Amino acid sequence: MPVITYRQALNDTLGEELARDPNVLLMGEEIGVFQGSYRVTEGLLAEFGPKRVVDTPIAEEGFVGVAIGAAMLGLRPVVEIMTINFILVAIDQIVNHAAKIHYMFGGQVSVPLVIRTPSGGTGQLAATHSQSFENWFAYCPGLKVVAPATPYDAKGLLRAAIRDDDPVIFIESLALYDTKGEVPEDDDYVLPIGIADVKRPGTDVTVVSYSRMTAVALQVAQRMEQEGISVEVVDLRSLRPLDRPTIIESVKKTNRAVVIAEDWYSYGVTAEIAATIQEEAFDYLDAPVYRVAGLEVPLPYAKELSAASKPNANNLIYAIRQVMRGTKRMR
Amino acid sequence: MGEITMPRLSDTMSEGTVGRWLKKVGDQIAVGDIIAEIETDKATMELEAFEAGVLQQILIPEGQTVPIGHPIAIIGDSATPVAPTPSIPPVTTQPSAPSASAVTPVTVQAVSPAAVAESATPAPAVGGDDNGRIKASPVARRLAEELGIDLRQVVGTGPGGRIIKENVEEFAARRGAAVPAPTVTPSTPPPTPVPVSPPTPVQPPAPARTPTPAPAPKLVGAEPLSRMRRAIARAMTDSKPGVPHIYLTIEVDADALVALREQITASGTRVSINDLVVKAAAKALSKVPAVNVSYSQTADGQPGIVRHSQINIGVAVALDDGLVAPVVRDADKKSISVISAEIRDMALRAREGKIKQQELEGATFQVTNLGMFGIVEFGSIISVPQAASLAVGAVRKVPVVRNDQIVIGQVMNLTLSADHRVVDGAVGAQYLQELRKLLEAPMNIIV
Repeated sequence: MPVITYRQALNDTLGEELARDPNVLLMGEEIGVFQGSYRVTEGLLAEFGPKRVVDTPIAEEGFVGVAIGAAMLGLRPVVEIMTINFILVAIDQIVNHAAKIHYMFGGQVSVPLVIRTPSGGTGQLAATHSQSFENWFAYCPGLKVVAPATPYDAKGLLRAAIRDDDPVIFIESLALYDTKGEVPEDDDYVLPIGIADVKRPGTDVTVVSYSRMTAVALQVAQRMEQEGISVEVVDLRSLRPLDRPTIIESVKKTNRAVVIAEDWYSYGVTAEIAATIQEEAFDYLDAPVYRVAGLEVPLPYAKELSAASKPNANNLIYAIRQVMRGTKRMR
Repeated sequence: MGEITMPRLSDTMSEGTVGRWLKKVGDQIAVGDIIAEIETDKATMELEAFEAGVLQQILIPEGQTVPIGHPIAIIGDSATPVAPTPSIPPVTTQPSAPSASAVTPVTVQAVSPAAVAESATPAPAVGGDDNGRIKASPVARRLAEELGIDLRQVVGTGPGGRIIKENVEEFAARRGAAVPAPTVTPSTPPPTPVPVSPPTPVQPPAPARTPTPAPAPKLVGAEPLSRMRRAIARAMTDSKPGVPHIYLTIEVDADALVALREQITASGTRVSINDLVVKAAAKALSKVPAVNVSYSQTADGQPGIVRHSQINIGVAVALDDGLVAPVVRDADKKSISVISAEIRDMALRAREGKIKQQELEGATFQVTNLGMFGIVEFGSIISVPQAASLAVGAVRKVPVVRNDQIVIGQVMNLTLSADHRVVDGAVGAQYLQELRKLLEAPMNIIV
């Protein structure tokens, strides 16, 4: 199986979907002539032309609104928001229109819209450019929110998102774009939205993660194995719908859970997962559910502070050791 | 038709034992009648009927413990009594409500794990906190319930002494291994777990060494302890983890004993003072059987006591690098010469390393003698699951007062160590009194 980057997987998928369905079109800032701020749309303008790959003005509210209208009339727009930080000006369009139209018009019209956007990051992008807002959208009924961690999942889920008749927020990560993984060639696989994936089986503790934090979790799981601690990594892949059964099944097996996400600690994704676990697996818990999340500060620019403000492998290892306290392995 | 439920008779009460039914099935009950005695953790109280009718069913037999609110009997208006259908109540030794702290998610922020360390102050583990609340993880609680394990007997190695699943599993494995055939098998005391803080960026304070409770193996024939007995057992364990020993020392006038031994020896039979003490100890046990017991667990995991029908005396024998206690079985029924021969034979083989394991098992009481070293008196450690051990000091000449005259007499000090969970001081004292009577008029040992 070919090994390609996460970016390449996205680029391939966008090209294939543009070729497969004439109703698919791309919109966003700098996605055409500049070929994308992160080169995800590289080569697509040349291949499909300016009617299918549309450079927009710096006006997120406006072009997300345009995309919603286009979607209502049968097109399948895939909008790129340069980073999730810029989505805030379009949030009314997304939450009050895209998420509600199918419901408020009695099902007469759907909004088959995809919004792709990278979230989080530690790249010295400072307070207004490093944030994680996927939980804002996962909070909103009427939206689907997916956040793949691997090139394989990115491809399967982007296909699913484009072919889905409802608005899907597709969360990417700057740090993942250059990561590599196996992706089958000439295989039109589609990953159903809302199904988590046990990325690594284990017996001692469940780590629940998504997107970039899944990569961190897998790396930590490998390290913990050398200490004799068997970590199961549940990659959510989708925040809404949330695959609660897979999380619960895993925690019932391991009796311990650590939830890691890049967003801020309070009211973040980790809170939702932790609450789910205590509700549905209470009698299976052998330790409190620990949460590893972002430090609750406006995200700093300074290199060290920027790195320190986001959860990392050491934080996760610390939490795993905390939930493992008192077990034979830790005694 | 109304249910009578286990009432809440005190603020701290979470469960109660039906001590005695004062009415039978079919009896007419008037409002205000006392229908049963309920034992709580504090006292025995009377259960009054709040409605009139006929006692149709007794759901909980005497001696059974159920949580408050659990139906214990049914009163109906029918004069026809219904055949009792005993229901086995869930064994709840603890309020089943989960502890809030066990599930409170704990913050681990990217750079400030200090909050976690603060919340993880360790505490001693056994027997719950001051309020009797036991810190156990939900899965440990569930597992203990499934296995019928009393969490109060499980040592928690989790943060702050929280009982985790592994602790229950280990306890169950030990208990399973300690279920013997007809007689009592000494079980190996569990190793003292020493929780060690994980090497973490911020070191939580090192937990104190957790005391190990005395193992309570499931022994065949264990009957439930009374509420008071249980409360005592718990209090004793709290105060002195492991087996809570009490020590009682008595001075025995050994003149007659020494004389008797000389007489027997002169007749050509080799008998030691210790042989005579072993026989006397066994005989005294038959008079005070309350000492010939074991702290145990009932089949459903509740604290229990086994009253041994056999009197088997373990006799401590010093080896070069340790000691063993070969067992004289039915010592109360054997003659002094047989006991003497058995001890000699087993001691010899023990020193040669040829003693069989089964000869070291099944003691219900132990005698340890350091008199030959000139030790005046000492307290011995009880071998679980026995409930008492007798430490024998040297026979020595001392000035004694007889008929208001100071004369040279021979005395011997005996110290009884007893498991205070099941043997109280007065019972131990009674036993020593009986033993002294035998040793001071030693013909009674022989006949």
